[in-house]
Amino acid sequence: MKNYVAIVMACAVLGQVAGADVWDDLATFTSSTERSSPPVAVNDLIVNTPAGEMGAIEDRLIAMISSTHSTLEAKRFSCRMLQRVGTEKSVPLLGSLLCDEALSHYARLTLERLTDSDAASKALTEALDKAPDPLKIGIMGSLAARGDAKAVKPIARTARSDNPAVTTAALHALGKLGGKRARKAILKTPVPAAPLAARTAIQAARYDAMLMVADAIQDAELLEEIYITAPTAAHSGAALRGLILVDESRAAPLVAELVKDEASYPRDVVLTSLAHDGGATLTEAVAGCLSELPAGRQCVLMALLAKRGDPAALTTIETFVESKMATVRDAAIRAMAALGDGATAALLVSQATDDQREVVLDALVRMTHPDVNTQLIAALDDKTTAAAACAVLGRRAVKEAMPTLKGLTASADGQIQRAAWEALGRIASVDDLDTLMQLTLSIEDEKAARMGYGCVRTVSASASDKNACIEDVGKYYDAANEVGKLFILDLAAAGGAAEGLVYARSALASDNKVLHDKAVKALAAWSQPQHVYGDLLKVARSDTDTKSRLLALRGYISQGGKERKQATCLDILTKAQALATRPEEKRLIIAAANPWQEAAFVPLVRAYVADPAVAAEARLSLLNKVEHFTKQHNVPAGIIQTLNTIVADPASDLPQVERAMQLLDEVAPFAGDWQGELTLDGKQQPVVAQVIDLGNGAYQANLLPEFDKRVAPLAVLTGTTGAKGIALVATADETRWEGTVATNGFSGTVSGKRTGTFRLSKVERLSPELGKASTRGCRRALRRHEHGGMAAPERSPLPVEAPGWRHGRYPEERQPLFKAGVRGGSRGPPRVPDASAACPARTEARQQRGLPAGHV
Amino acid sequence: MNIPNQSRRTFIKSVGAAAVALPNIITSNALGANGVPPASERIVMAGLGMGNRGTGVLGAFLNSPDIQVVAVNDVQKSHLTGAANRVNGKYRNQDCATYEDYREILARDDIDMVFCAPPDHWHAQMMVDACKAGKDVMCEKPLTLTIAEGRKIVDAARRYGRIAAGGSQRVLEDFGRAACAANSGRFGKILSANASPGGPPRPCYLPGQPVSDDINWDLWLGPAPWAPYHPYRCSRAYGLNGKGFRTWEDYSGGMMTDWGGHKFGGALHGLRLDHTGPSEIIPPKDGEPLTYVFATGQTLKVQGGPNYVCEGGDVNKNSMRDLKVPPGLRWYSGGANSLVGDFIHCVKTREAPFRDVEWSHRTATVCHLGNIALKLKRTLKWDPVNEDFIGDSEASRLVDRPRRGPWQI
Repeated sequence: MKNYVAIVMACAVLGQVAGADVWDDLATFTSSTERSSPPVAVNDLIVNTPAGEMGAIEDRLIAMISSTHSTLEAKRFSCRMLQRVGTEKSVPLLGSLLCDEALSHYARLTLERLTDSDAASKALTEALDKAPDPLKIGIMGSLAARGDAKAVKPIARTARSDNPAVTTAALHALGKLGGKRARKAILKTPVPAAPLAARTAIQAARYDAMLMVADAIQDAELLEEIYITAPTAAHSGAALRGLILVDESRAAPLVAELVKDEASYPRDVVLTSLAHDGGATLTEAVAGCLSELPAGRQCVLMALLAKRGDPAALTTIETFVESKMATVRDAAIRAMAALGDGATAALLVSQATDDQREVVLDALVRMTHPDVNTQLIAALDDKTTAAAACAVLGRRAVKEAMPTLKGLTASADGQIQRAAWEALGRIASVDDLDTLMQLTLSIEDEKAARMGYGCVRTVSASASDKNACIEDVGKYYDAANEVGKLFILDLAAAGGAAEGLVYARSALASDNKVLHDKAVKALAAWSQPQHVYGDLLKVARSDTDTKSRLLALRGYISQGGKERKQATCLDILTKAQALATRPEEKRLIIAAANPWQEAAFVPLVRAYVADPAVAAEARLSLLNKVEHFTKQHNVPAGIIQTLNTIVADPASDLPQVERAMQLLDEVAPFAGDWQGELTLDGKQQPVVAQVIDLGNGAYQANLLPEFDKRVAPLAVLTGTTGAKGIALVATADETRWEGTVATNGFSGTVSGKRTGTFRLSKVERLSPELGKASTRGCRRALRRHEHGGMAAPERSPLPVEAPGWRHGRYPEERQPLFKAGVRGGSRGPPRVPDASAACPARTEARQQRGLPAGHV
Repeated sequence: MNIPNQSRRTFIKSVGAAAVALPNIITSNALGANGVPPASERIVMAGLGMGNRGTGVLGAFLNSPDIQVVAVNDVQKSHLTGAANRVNGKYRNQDCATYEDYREILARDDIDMVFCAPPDHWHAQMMVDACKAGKDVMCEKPLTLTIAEGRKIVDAARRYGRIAAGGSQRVLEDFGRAACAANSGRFGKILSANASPGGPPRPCYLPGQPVSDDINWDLWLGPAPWAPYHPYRCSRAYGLNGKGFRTWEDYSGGMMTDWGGHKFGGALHGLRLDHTGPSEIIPPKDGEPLTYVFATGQTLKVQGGPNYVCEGGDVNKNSMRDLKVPPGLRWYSGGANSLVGDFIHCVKTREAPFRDVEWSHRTATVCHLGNIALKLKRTLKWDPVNEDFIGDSEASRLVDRPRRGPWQI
């Protein structure tokens, strides 16, 4: 103890190493939730101290542990730091702490890590006899971790404890220490009188320790002994695995026996070991059992042998290729491929019969042996194996096989011929296109030539430079027969390059009808459309053949629809509109214009609203556009009229009308019916107004004495939308009417010859026909309409309201709309009042149907 | 040689009889209805350390028709009850046995495999003990708390012929596509990988509190140094916020190991270096991140990612559309599409699982090396064959840690 006091005093006298405050803080440290606690500061001090000056740090740590003034936490922390920087100097102090329950573990931390210190071993060994049982366990663990053979004897002595936990720990430590002395000690350690579970744990620890010793000293005899006598399958399995490593020939018969065993556990150990352990002897022993196993286990075992990668199993596995069970056969084929060489490949390719062809081909593709390709090329010479060999060589992309494959394209056997072309398609590159075209052109048989063209197409499809392909292939256009020319046109269209147009134009000019039609189709499908607009338009306008004109027009429209430039697309569709006479082409134009949410396309589509054949599509497209404009708050002129047209059109279907009306409400929220009071020349009277959206921000308001009567208006105000709403004004008979329509109402003044004020609120008005019986004949007419002009079955549910009623087909649909005070019912937000009275087109439509003005 | 012996039958009786509880009602599930194998053909398993992650992964096992979960363990009563309820709810019975001490589960002879998800400081102990008890074992990542623990786990798994795997489904889920793209050959040689898991842990000096009735504190500490109870020491909270065990170095490697198990695992997989380790570890300096240098000349940088830097440019999971697993790149076995599925397949076929303990150990080692380099703040030389530092005794002392009391491996 005097030494420690001296050290403490020395530190004090030396004026402290850097960071003296840190040590003071540490001495009083108890606990902290802060990141910058004293231990952290000391740790930083250690990290930043050069190795040569670490001795001073160690002195401080020793002083901290020795001090009677430092806290327990400070001492524990100091022990931990000594684990990193401690030397022999720390051993006496730490050894004295091993029996201290509060600090033993922390002192052991350091002593265990002083691996080159005999003094540390001695301190631990000496403490073993004195320490209480719980601390003995840790000390033995540390001695074992240090691997000190001198510790065997004291640990063996400790193992004779009455405490089962101590005995178990001692056995474990002896096992880790290893050696013959440890082995002897393990065997001699008695089992104390203890409960059965504790005794069982000791036995398990004993066998585990013996396994460690046997593995370390490579004692085959001991391992075999353990294998035979171990009470648990885990230990016998582990012993066998050890025996495989130590003496494989000795283990082989035991392994063979186990693989066939019904008990799964030891067998699993052996099977698991196949991934890591043993050599050819083990492989042969396991493979030799295959024939005696059930089918399922055969498959598992062959897969494991394949993963093991030892060719020693190959001969045995080959015998299972003839198995009657498909699963076993397939497993054998896969295993052979994993283990085999060129000869195996030759054998497998001969097995590629119909029912196992794919398994064989897949297995051959995965083979890695360098001789495999040579054997497969050799197999091309045999008619029975050529087709399969072609398929495999193609999938393996074996360039060396190309000459032989080219020869096989002339084979009399159609199957081989096809397989050869397919293989060439997989193997050949763009550089081979010239050769392949020559080969194809030399074939007279049309069917065979098509295979060649298919091959060229496959190669071209994988090329990154499509233009280079068409150049290579296109130069044979003139020399090619009709089939060849058709193929080249297809290839040119797929490539899409401008260079390919020369062949299409040549074909267009040809007298050959087939070629001509193909050229039109190729232009219509050209993958880079910008090159073909002119050609297609020319054909669509001037070709003598009607069918060609139509095909070209349709191609022109669909190609134009792919155009990304708005102006170009509009130009194309406008030109197409001038040529389109059939509904089919008109629909194509509407479809091509539909993605463009631009005002410029509205007139193009609106032109078709009046065409009954395509009106529905045109309306739908327009509504899509208007919805987009509304969302963008950028409604172009004329939209209101378009929507009014849709609403008023009798052919519009109900969803379209409802959607148009909703859009009208959003686009022109002030349009519609208003009702209120007018004080004119001091006399109060009712007044109503129809506010009409004229487009482009212009509005008109007709002030009337009442709705639904044809009377002269009191005033017709006009104006435009401003910041505060719509400012309207009218001057007539020396009287000036001024008003403003805004969210809070429609109000204004009258001045001049007559004076007064008016104030109106928006109203939603319901049909006066509501509840009336339907007109005679209307039910039948509506049913015919529903069923495309055909008489409908009687059971068909029909509306009973007057014609022209639009809000819902069935009572349950319309019910919410007509509940008093519930505008719009449950289907959404309250609807803005019906603007029908303000819509001239609708008014006209109503009049045509004999309905009162202002109502739908 | 005279080995004190005990018959197999006695051994099994001694440990199993009390623990095995027969179900009161034999359900249709037990008899193999609805395409599920009968109970006799299913893999019987138990869950050890059933906190949040444990019960989460246990759900994946419960969903497998090949698995029958019969027991769960945790030192916290609330966790234990929650896990048991989950199992019983799945099987619609009350058969799941509960254990505070996992060793009682390992002593049961009817259990084929265990899944471990306790705090990190318990992983090695449970895995080694499970292997010794003859159980196949899968453990949540990170595999270990120290480098030396990993080798002990691998040795135990090999000695006892066990299928033993670490965790991290993200190795393939997050990195799989990028690894395939980088190894497709299209982008040339892989020069380096980037991955950023997070920071290291720190020492814990939380003051002691009265031990909660919910927890067996001494058993929770296990091999870790004794410390007073505080809820923030053992809470399962994620992150390094000082409110969960992952913050503290006695119980975890911090985010470096928690996310490093995923990200470093994925990076090493794509680099095809998951069987080895770096030769040099350079701590952050002059704006450069923590960097691992491998003998192949490739590097792993702890920044951004996850991606690979190839001769042909950066490669991430979006670099290629049509991906195939390149030859030689490891993948799940037997057509499995999940980590759990892969492990179950391997338990049945005895093939090596995707996250075999050797590879998981190598991944964890990279995490630990990073933590040590950050702690010592100097460049370290590492020998991946002998698994020790070269010429740095202080660093070598951090390869392992002494273990408390009876918890020796």
